[in-house]
Amino acid sequence: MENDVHTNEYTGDDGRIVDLLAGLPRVAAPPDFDVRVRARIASGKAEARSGFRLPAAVAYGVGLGVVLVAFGLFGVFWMYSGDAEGVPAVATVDHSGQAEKTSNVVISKEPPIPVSDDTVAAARTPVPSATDPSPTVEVKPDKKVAQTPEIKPDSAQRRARTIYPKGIDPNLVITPQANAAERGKPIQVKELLSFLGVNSSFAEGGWRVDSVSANSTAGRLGLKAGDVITAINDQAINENTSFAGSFSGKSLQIRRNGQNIHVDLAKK
Amino acid sequence: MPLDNIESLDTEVKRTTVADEKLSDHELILAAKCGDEDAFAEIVGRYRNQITNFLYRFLNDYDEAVDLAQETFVRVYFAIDRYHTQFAFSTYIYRIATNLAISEIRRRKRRKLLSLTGLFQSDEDADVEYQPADERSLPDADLIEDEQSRTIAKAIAALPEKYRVPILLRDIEGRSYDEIAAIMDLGLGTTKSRISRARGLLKEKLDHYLK
Repeated sequence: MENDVHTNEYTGDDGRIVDLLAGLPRVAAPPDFDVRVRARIASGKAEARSGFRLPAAVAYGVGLGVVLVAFGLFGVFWMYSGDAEGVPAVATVDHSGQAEKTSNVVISKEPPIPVSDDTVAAARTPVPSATDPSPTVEVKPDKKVAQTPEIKPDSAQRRARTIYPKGIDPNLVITPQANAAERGKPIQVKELLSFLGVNSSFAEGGWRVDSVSANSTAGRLGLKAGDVITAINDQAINENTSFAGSFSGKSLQIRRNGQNIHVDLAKK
Repeated sequence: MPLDNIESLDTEVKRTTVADEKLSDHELILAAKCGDEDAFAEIVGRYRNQITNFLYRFLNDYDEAVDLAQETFVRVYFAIDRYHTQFAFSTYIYRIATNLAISEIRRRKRRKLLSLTGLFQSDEDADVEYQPADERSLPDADLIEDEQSRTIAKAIAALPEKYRVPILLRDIEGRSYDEIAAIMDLGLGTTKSRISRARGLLKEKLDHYLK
């Protein structure tokens, strides 16, 4: 190349400076220079083919925004779902006299039945299900209706007779639907004995015990297979005897090996 | 491919290689624009040592010089469609290399400003501008410079950019005043003035070797 060799046309100090600079040793590119250039070009082509790419700051910002929005939505859903679970359904009252059903609650106008304070407090617990019959709740009609529906548990029992949820008529009787359906239904002896843990069949003039569940009332009483139950609550029983739904057990009459044994249920 | 065609293909390749060596820079660039990778490789072969040496004298750092020289050719490759033959290719590639080197120098300045060690440098070191000492060993035994060469390199590195570029292009790379003016996008008179001023500054620093 013509520029590789240049002559010094200067004289004096300028010429000396030019000679000093021209005398500096020249450095050469490393042997793998061409390979590295081709590699850089290839990587540049690959980046060009990859198309549009967001700057790193924008990409991180978008990602952070998505995460924040997701957390926000989760929080909103969590808040509303928490309210739905925490507040039981409130029955609307039909003041025209027609019973109205909401959830598992039946509201009807029946004569009120006196109950204790404990019973009123129990009525403020969440609405019972159909398989969990609760006692009938009565509220005396001559009490004032308070406007505040939220009552602390400690004060609930103390003021149970004067404070009622908003929209609830204290003159109405709230009865669990399942209890209403089964109320008055007679209980057969076989079913009654099964409540005590006795699997029985009618034989030998009474209800013979076929087997006794280990952890049951009958098991704790000492009933054994082969015993014949002849009376309940001092009432002689036969194959078709039944008791009222409000039955409560007090005593059993048992015949074992020809001897009659009286068992007091109240002591067990 | 039939075996009898191999010899003719080899002959054609050799002929093409010989032809590339005879082609001018403009013709090689035109061939590279048409996708001829060999033509671009010939361009790289012609200028790699010149650009590397220029950048080494500018930066006083061999590894950085090689890195920027490679970057220079990569930029030439991807901007090859925008190259116009109204300028010499050497002007074009030196201009790219100069701009890259100046950017690197400014980056070093910013880095030095952020460095706590810069606060404790003496005024004498500050005269060497931004240039940290290159303590690394040179990659080739041939590159081991004597004391005089190191002193001259240090003096060049101490020159301001506007004086360093033209004197390197003129007195080390042997470029003409017209070409240097085109590379620096300056008038011819300004270019000569700066070169003269650069020599005057070097005389002050290298008077020991001028006696």
